[in-house]
Amino acid sequence: MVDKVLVEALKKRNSEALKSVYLDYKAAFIGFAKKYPLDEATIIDIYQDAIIALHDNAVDGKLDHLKSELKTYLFSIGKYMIYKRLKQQKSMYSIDEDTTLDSLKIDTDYTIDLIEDLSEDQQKLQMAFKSLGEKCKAILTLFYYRGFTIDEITNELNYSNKDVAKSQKSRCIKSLKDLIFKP
Amino acid sequence: MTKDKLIAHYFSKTLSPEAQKEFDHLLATDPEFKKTFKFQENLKTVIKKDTQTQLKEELQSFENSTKTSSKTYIKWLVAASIIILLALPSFWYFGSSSLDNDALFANNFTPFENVVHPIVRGEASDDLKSKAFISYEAKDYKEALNYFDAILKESDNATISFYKANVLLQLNKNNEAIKILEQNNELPQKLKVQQQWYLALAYIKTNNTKKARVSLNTVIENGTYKKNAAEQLLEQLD
Repeated sequence: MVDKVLVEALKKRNSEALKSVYLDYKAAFIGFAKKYPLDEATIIDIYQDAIIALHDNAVDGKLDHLKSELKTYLFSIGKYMIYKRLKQQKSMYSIDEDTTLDSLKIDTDYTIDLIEDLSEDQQKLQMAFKSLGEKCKAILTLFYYRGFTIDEITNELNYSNKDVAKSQKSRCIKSLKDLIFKP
Repeated sequence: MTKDKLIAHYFSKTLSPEAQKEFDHLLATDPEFKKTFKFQENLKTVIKKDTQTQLKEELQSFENSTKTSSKTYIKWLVAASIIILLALPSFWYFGSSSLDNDALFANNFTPFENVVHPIVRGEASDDLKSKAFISYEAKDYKEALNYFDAILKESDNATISFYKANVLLQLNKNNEAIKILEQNNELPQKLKVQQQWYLALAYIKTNNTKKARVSLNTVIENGTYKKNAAEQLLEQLD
């Protein structure tokens, strides 16, 4: 029950909820990860990435019908990331066959989509996006990242009607394209 | 359904099975549609990446705020205000650019945290390295500098040099710090971007805006550490 409230708050990008999830499970996660050959700074780095993945999946609606506890879910993600990290450091530590990773992924119903490198096109787009005004950033984030429909955006951002929201969004896309394609 | 609507439904995950078919078909056969979609899909990736970077910074800030108790925070706040007050007359004397750069430095500089030599209370800690990092974590930078120097006298160590440069910056010995940071090439890969960040701050402190820009751009290109902060700083330098 409490988990449900937390998931809803995470979706809304509530800082307090994020902090509470982060701090509540941190000590337990560090204890859990200590059995692997990783130093504490690396464990904390992995834990933070796991929280980010948890957050993104909450936003994506993947936790709406969560069957396990939030903590169990978070630790599964964390465990997967630990294996992945150890695999990258394979030259230093020998770990079981590659199958460990794959079986882990199939066992649990989650995806982890941390974006590492951007393509050249995406980098240009990133620069352009950053130079947009706050209004545009807000509307585009709701539409593309949070998957809101135009109706939901109209409500969320208090536009007088759907058409206003729609044309605002088109204007933002146009500014983006102008920034990228016009010298 | 219009093509735009199809794409909109894709992003709100409200494509009916039938519309999904139409969507897939267009994606495979209509280059213009594919281009429009690809652009928006890239935009989604960029926004997601942005959010993830912001989240990471937020989580790191929880880490820092749990480490320093609120009491020391207030102490530092008072210290910072006094430094700013003391700096004001020199601002009137030297003109605005010097204060600007000092302020930029002060806003952005915190000594790099000790990630190489964890200090565990209660464990024997007689060796130089432990003593150095105990002083470093206790913010006793003069003492830390002595220990770092003693370690470096015995043998060269790029990581220790990096921490020494941090201490020097803290003690306002900026040119010495720059000298180390510029030539410290043996550093492990994972600390290199951190070194560029501190080099940028050191250049800002010494009003070498041109070199600061170069270092900041290196940090931004790398993208794994302080990227947002570097971008902001770069804007403020203009």
